[in-house]
Amino acid sequence: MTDTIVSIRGITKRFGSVEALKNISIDIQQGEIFALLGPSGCGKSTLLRLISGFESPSEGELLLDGNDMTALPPNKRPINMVFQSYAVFPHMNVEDNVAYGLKMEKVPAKEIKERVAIALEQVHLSNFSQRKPDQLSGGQRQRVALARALVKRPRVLLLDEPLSALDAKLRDAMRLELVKLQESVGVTFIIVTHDQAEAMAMADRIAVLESGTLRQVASPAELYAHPADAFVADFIGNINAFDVQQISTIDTGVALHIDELGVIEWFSEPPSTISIPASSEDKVEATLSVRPEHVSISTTIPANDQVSIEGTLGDIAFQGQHSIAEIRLDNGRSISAIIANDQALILPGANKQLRIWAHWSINNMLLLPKKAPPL
Amino acid sequence: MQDISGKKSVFFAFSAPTFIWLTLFFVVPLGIIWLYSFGENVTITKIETTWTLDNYRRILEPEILQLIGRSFWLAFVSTVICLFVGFPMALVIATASFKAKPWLLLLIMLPFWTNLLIRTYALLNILGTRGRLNDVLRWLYERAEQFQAMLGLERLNLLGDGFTPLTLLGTPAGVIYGIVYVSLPFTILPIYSALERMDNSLLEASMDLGAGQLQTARNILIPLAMSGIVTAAIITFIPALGQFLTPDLLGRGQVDMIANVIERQFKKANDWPFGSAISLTLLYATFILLALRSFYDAARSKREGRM
Ligand SMILES: Nc1ncnc2c1ncn2[C@@H]1O[C@H](COP(=O)(O)OP(=O)(O)OP(=O)(O)O)[C@@H](O)[C@H]1O
Ligand SMILES: [Mg+2]
Repeated sequence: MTDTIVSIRGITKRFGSVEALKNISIDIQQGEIFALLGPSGCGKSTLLRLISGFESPSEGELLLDGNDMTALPPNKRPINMVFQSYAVFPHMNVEDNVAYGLKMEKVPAKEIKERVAIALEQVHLSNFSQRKPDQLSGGQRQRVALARALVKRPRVLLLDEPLSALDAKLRDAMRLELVKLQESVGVTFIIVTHDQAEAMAMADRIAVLESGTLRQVASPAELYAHPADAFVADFIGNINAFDVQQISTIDTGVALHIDELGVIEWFSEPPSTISIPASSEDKVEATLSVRPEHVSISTTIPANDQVSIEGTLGDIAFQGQHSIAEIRLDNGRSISAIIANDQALILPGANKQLRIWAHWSINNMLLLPKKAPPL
Repeated sequence: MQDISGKKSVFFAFSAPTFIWLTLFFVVPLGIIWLYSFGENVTITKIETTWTLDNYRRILEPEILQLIGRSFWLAFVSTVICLFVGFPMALVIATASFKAKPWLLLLIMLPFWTNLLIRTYALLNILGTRGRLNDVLRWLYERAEQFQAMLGLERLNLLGDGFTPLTLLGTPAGVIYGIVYVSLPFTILPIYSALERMDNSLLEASMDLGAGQLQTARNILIPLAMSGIVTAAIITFIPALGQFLTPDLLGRGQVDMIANVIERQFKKANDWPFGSAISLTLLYATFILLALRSFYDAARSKREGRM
């Protein structure tokens, strides 16, 4: 068991009548990269600002190394932040920006010089120390913000959408660089992002938030393989979801009645978050899903051991490494499949109305509640 | 859309009103004043431009120089006070909730909609020896006296022999009070607009890096608002220098500024050439100030390395 560094306990934050966060509890471990992931407006930034001290919670408390820091102002917390806008001071050169926090700490001038030089080296900005911020690119400005925070040797570094202002190419490079930097300095990172790919690529653990509630906290692999509900599954990657109309218990597990797929036998315990209704009249709040990357398409009837559905081939979108094919079901809904480019090339266009089968193995399916109770 | 400025007739049609306006109300009067300033009174009503420099030479007479000096001094002190009072007020407005902001701005602008003369008379009522300000001070004095009696400390006579009302009218302090009062909105608005534009996360970043509120104000807030502060200082100082009504009414004729002297030349003394020369000198001083401002801006952007 590793040490908990930041402990968020029952935090609720209200802005007037808006409840931005509802009873959130998370323990963040020493030395990990922790991502706060969720759609716009779900409260990620608010949570980050609570940890940094710019907002105070309406309810609940924040612990750092087991000590209550709820009442501590931001300048007294050993936590630093990289702002979404970077907030590099425009009237100071790079060196003065990075030295600012140490000057405020009254670190001796000689030590400041040394530490600033090291920090600038870490972010590859040694040659830019005399530049003013408006002579730097967006990526360089972000590194200044990073160096300026890291030079303080914080216990925790908070990053609010650190990569969102960068272009796609730079973003991928910076992802790796941030992870490497974190490994070398060993500081705990808490990263806010609405980009699931970013969270998956960088984080050790991810907290998924949705409109102020915590849906799930888990490692990227765990989130992908065992999402708590359909919302998380759809947010982490994509899913093709089929509504379950009825569940009945059978000897070997449960039978799922799905309009589009027929009756599917599920040979294991359904998740405890799905309640099996006593009567067949009751509504079932569950979906059976499959990710597009597990769906194959063929022009002939697939083998019996596969779950399959017939439809018409729709548009095919070229994505680079692969293509995404749309399968239009006869009831008007569409599902998608990720297919190899080779296969995409020999398929006709949507106007040909080609009849095809989408199929996948039942082992790749996820039986999920539509909405799990918040953590 | 077509480039309308490219068509000569359209260009003239649109610029004619501006051109006529500028000529009629700016160039012509100023030109007349300029000619007068090199002129002499030949009769009571007739002035002849003789290109004499006497009018300008007379400005160098000690009593006029002293008046100019006093004007600069009063305007300077008023500006400094305005900056110290106006900055926090601008800060309050800039950080106010977005509901409160328009109301606060309205409060700042409200005096503009009242006639200056009326406002100045109102100030007379406040600042006089029997004015409201002294009423408040007297009330405070009496309370303090009672308190002293309650503690049985009358013998120490800490409060002096009795309440002496503050004399503000007819003193530089009264005039400064008046100038500060009329100038404050001019000081607040440019500073407010500079603060308003500032990215709030810069201040948060400073706090995040360990600076306290005062350090953040000194290291980040004020330097970044500096161009607004300089604008505010100039926009306060220039009208303050030319104040006429305030020294006239609140100064009781004992704290004259340049404008009062100019007025006297045009009216009582009937010495328009001399009045014109002083007016133009004031105008030149203003131009010099504005030139200094643009030098400051140029130097600043060079320092900040915009090459
Ligand atoms: N100072 C504030 N006053 C009132 N409401 C606020 C304030 N700050 C945030 N909110 C509200 O709280 C909710 C959460 O906001 P927050 O900024 O934390 O979202 P976010 O997850 O960071 O979104 P984004 O991805 O768009 O940045 C939003 O509904 C927002 O309108
Ligand atoms: Mg945000």
